[in-house]
Amino acid sequence: MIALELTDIEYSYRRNTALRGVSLQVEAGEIVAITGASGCGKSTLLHCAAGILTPDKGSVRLDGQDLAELSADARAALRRTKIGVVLQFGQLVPDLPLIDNVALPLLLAGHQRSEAHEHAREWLTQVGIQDEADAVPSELSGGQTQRAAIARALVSGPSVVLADEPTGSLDSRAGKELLDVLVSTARYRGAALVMVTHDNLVAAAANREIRLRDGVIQHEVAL
Amino acid sequence: MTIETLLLLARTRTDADRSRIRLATAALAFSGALLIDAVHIGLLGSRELSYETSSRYVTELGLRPGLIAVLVVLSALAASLAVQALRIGTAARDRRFAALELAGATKGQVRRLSTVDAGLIGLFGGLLSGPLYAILTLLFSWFPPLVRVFPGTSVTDVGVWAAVTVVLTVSGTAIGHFTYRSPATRTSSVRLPRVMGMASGAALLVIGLVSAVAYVLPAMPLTLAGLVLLWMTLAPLRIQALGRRLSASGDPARLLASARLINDTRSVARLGALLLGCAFLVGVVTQMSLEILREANSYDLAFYLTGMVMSALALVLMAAIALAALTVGVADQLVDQRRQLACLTALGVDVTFLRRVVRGQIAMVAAPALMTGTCLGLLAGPSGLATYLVEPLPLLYLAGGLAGLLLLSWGFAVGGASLAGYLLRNQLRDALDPENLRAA
Ligand SMILES: Nc1ncnc2c1ncn2[C@@H]1O[C@H](COP(=O)(O)OP(=O)(O)OP(=O)(O)O)[C@@H](O)[C@H]1O
Ligand SMILES: [Mg+2]
Repeated sequence: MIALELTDIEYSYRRNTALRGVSLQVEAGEIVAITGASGCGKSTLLHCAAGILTPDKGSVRLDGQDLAELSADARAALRRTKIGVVLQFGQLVPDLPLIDNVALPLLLAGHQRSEAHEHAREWLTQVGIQDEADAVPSELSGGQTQRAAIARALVSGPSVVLADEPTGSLDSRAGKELLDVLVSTARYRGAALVMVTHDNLVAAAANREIRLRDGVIQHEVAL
Repeated sequence: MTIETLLLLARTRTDADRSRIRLATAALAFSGALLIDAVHIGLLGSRELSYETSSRYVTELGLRPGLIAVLVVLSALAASLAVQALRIGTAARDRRFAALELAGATKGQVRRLSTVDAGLIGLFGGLLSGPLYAILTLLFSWFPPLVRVFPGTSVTDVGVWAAVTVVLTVSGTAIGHFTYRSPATRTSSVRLPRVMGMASGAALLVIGLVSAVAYVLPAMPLTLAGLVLLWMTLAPLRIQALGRRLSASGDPARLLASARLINDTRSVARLGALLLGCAFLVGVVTQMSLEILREANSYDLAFYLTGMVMSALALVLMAAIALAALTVGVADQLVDQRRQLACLTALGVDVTFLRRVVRGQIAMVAAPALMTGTCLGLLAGPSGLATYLVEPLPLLYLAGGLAGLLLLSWGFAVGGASLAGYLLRNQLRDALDPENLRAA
């Protein structure tokens, strides 16, 4: 089953064009690595897939649903339930304790706080920062922030996980551990996992590597 | 979203956000207290009060409607100040809302947070207005009877207080709901000058000034409305130009100071318009006082001047709150940019220098608004142009008043800005702390 399907995506910022026709299909349970030089459009592609950016041309389908056909609220609901995103920069809510930050998708969906905390705590443990549950994001190291972001992406049991440099601020051992959490969760759940990365180790964990260059797919390698 | 979640997310705040809320609450409480006073006096009906205990403005039946009108105008000014304070976008708040939307919050949910936030501020402002009214009454009772415009407390005041609280809560909720703009959709740049706004502002101003020759009192609100409208359409352009000029300078601290002027142009312009409004009314009151002084032989002199001075003081208080609101914006920017500022330490920037930048930033917005307002108020007041044309006010009077007001309003702006710089000194020092280089 195809979990995520991008067709001929184009996207331009005010001054430069970041994507010039990218198509991509990701099966449920598949792990895809997106690589390429800095500035080639990897993050932009991920943001389009997550419904954070709306492409100028082309369509994004998630579990067969075209994002463009959904209302803004329905897209938000989708982000909360079906998509887990880990972004490159600041996505935790400042001055909200980590436990609430991780529980956020559940809280927004209307779950009771105690119940949401229970799940959040499990995920904090999984990524190894259960001791920081009551800290606020500004008190965390870069790596801890990244772990929290990953915990939050996974807490609602999404069918598509999109991660931008998930191991970017971690040393190689911690990076490996976190990668294992991401990969094994995706496998176990049968979720599609798309990771943007510079890290060969991360790319090696994928089923497929897609190399971008100047906003187009340069080549694809099955691993 | 459960109520618990709603309150959790509506509550998390940074320091700048807290000052914003305190300011809005204080302004609302003040507005409410004045409203209670107005209603109290209104409810007196034709009941007589003793000259021993109350001001003649309250005891003389014929003067009551005038006093009520003044109180209502002041209350409305304070309320619009509160609305402005509510609308100041603090960077931290914007980021929080953006992060929430990223986590899958719908626009409706985020809007609800802003609604609850503003509703709670309305509620607290309302709850505080009653005690504030009592305190003001007590305070005024220590002064000579002439100034006692708060005619004591009564049981009915409690009912009025409750009603005011309800009104403020409901209006707060409505304001939070309708003024919320998602950070994602908000445009930072100012569009072309809205020609309609400018044209109608200019038209109102001209009509106001011309009709002042024949119909003095109805002309004044027209003049004021035209002035504020014109200011609201033109000031953003000036502020942006100022920001651009600063941002083009090679000086890094000036560069940082420009960011707020460019990014938060609208709320800066609105606060400027409020300052302008206050200043205009101060000008009007000054002109009325000058007029009274000219006919200085009447025994009513003390009586009228007391009224004038009190109104002027109330207006100055409003202007001070508006300056404080500007300061909150600046403080927020500092906290938001602490990382960049910390980098400046390495370039040799110190607190004194930064204070100068802050001072400049506030004075540049406040001084023109205050100076324009007072001058036009002085010229367009109730016995303004009409009288000047028919029987010219001694030039010395007018010139003296004008010069005095210009100097005072300039001093007020610069003094306020310096005070703001002084009050922010610790925040500035914190902002320059190299430790901030670690902050995200
Ligand atoms: N908000 C923006 N406004 C304008 N241009 C942007 C914006 N964000 C990215 N760009 C430009 O779009 C292009 C693609 O950016 P993108 O962030 O997708 O790159 P990337 O492949 O993720 O790079 P990196 O590996 O450094 O994260 C770049 O040339 C960048 O300069
Ligand atoms: Mg990127």
